[in-house]
Amino acid sequence: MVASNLYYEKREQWYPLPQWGEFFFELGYALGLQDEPEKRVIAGLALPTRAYAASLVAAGVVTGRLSSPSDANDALRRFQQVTTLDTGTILYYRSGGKRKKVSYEGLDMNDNDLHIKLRTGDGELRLIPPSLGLQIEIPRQKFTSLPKLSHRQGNATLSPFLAHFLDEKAGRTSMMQSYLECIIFGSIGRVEGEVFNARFAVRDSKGGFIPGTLQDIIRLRKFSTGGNTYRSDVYYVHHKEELEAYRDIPAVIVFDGAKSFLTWNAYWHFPHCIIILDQTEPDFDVAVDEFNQAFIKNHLDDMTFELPAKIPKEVPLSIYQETRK
Amino acid sequence: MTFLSIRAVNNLYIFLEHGTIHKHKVSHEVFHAFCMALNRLEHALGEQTEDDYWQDFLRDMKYYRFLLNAVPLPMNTQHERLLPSIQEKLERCYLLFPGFVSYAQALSDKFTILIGLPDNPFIETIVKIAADHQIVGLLLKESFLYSLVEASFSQHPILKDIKLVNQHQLRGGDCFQQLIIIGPSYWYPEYILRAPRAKEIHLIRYGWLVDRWSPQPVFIKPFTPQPTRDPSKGNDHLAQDEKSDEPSIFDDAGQDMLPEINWKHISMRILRQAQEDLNVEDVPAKLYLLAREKAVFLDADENARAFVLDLGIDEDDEDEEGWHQIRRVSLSELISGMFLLLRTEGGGDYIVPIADRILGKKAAVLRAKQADWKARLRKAVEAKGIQGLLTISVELLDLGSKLANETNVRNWMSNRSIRPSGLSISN
Repeated sequence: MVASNLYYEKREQWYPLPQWGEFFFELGYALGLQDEPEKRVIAGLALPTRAYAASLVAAGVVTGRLSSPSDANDALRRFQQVTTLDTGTILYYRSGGKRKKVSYEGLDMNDNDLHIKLRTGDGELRLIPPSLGLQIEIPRQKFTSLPKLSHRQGNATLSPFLAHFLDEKAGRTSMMQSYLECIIFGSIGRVEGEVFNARFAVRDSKGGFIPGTLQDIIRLRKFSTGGNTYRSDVYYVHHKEELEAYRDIPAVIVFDGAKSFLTWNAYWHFPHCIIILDQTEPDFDVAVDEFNQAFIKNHLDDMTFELPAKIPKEVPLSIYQETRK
Repeated sequence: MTFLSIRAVNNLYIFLEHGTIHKHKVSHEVFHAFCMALNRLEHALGEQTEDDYWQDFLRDMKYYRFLLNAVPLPMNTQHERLLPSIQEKLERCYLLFPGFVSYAQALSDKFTILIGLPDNPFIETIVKIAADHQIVGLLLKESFLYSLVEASFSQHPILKDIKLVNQHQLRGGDCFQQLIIIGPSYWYPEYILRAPRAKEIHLIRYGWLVDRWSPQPVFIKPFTPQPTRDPSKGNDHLAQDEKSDEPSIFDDAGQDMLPEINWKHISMRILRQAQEDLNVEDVPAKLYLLAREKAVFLDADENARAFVLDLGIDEDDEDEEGWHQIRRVSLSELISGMFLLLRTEGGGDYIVPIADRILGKKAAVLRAKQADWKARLRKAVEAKGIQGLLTISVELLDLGSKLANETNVRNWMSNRSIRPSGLSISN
C-alpha cells in the first residue's frame, strides 16, 4: 500500500492519510498498473464531496505508472505519436536538464534505423531514436514559430519528498521525462488548491517527516513552470479548445464531477476512466443514469480488474470493463 | 475559491459512515383537527374548489396549514392577517354557499382555537435537541420561511443560537453537530440525507405525514454491496413511526399539502399592474414563477437572455471562459432553482433623463422627432398584423439596415431606446 506512506497535516501535526484518501490513491494506482491492450476499466463513485478525489486518484495513477515496467513501450508510443504530426510542428526536446523548442522535420531512415529529425532554433539538426522518444514533448498549446534560441533550464533536482515517496529511479524518471499519464477534467481552481496548498509528508528512515505537495507527484502540466517536466494535466469542464489539445492519450481520464462526465465522456474510448460524482451536485442523477446506461450497453462479463484497496464505507462504487476503441 | 482541508473532508466521510438520522414524530390535537376539517371541506367541495370564492378561502387556510407543518412557529402565527379574512369569508359563505357553511364553520372554529395558542410541538422538540449542543443547524422547506423563523428565534434563549441553513449551504464544507430538518424527508433533495453535513440529523414532522425514506442503490451494478445504513440507527424513532396511530390525512403522502401555485391569480395581478402603467408596451412574454407566490413576465423571444445566479455551479467550477455562477443565459436555459437577477427599479430609468441632459437645449425638439418616428414605426408594425415585427425587420434589411431583427425592432419602438444603432433616422 503505497498510500500508507502518505501523511497529511492537521494543526501542525502529521497524521496518516485517512482511509478514504488511501482508497482514492490506491484506485488510481491500480488503474495505472492495469495495462490490458483490449480492455479498459470504468469506475464510478458517488461521493459526499469531490474534494481531493481527483487529485489523489491522479497521484495514484502517476505513481502506479512510474512503478510499471512499460517505459520502453511509452517511448515507442511517443515516437510514433510524433511521427503523425505535420512537419514544421513546434515541439519541445529535453536534454541535459534543459528543455528546448525544436521543429519536427520528419523521419530519417539510415541503415534501417529510424530516427526523428528535430531542428533547433539555431539550425542544428538532431536525430532522435525511438528509445529516446520520451525526450520529445508535444506542447499544450500550438506554437507558430521557432525562436532562434529557446531553451529553459528545468528544475531537475529530485525533491527529498519525492525521493522518499517514489524509489530513486522512478523519481529521476519523473523529473527528467514528461509523460501524460492522467488528465483531469474538472475544477482547475480546486485541484490547484489541493495539489499546492495542502501539505503532505512521507517518513524518512529515521522516522522524521519530509513535507511536500501532491504537485510534486502528479506534476500537472497546467502548472508546470519553466522547463519542468509533467506527468498529468487538468482542463476546465467547459474547455473550448478542440480535441487537438488531447493528442496525448493518457492512461487514465478523471471526470471530476457530473458535468465533466456528461460533457467529455463521449470523446474518450481508450483510456481507463474514473467518474467522480458528488451526491450534492445538481446533475448527479443525470450522470448516474448515463453511467448505468453505459454499463448496460458496454460492460464485459469477464472482469479481470481487481481492486486492492478497501472501499470507504457507505460510498457507492461501480466498476466495469469494456472493450477499448 | 472554496478549498477544503483534508480535515474538513474527513469530517464528511466520518458523518457518512457514522452519522445517524433520527426521526421525531410530533402531534397537536387541535392542529390535527384543523387539517382534518380542511380536508373534509375540500372533499365536500369537489370541483367547486375551482370557484374564485373557494380559491380565495382555501388559499389562506392551506397557507396556514403548510406554514404550521413546515415551520417551528407558535400556532397563533399570522393570526392578525388571517382571522379577519376568514371571518369575512365565512359571512359571505352563508349567502353564497349555504350548503357548505357547516364545513367552513367547523374549519373556522378550529382555526379560532389555534390562533389563541402560543405553543408548537416543533419548538418543544427543537429545544430538547439543541439544549445540549453548540453547533446546530435548521433546514426548512422553503426559503421564504426563514425570515419568519429568524424573527421568532431571536428572542429565545436556546433557539437564538441555531443557524438557519438552506439546501445549497449543505453542499459545501459547513458542518453541524445537529441538523434539524422540519417536515418529511421527501420534501428535500436526497443528498441532505445521503451526503450528511452533520453528525446527527433530526427529521421532525407531524405523525400524519408518512415518511419511509430509505437509501436506494445508486448504481445498478455496485462493485460492493450498496449502503445499508439504517436511517434510524442509534434510536428507536423509526419503529414508533411505523406504528403510527395517526394515519396520513393526505392523499399523496403529503405532497398535496405543499403550497399550490395559483397561476391565474398571479397572472391577473400582473396584468392589472401592467394596465395601470402607461409605459408598458405589448410584447410576447412568458410567465416565470418566483419564490413566495411571485412571478415575472420575461420576453418570449428565443434570443432573450437574463442574468442568473446559478448555485448549481460550484464556485470551484467557474472558469475563465464565461462559466460563472453569475452569467447571462438564454431564457430557454432557465431551470428551477436558479436565481434570476431582475431590476425592479432604477438602472434603465436613468437613461432618458441623462440623455436629455446631454442633449441640452436640443432635447425637446429631438425628443419630439423621436416620438414621431417611433410612433410611425409602431404604426407600421401594427399595420402588418401578427407578423408585423418580422415584416418590418425584412423591409429595414432591404433598406440597408444590418441589425434589423424582431428583437431590435421591438427595442427601437420602445421609448427607452434612443435610436437604432447603425441606422440613421433619415433612413
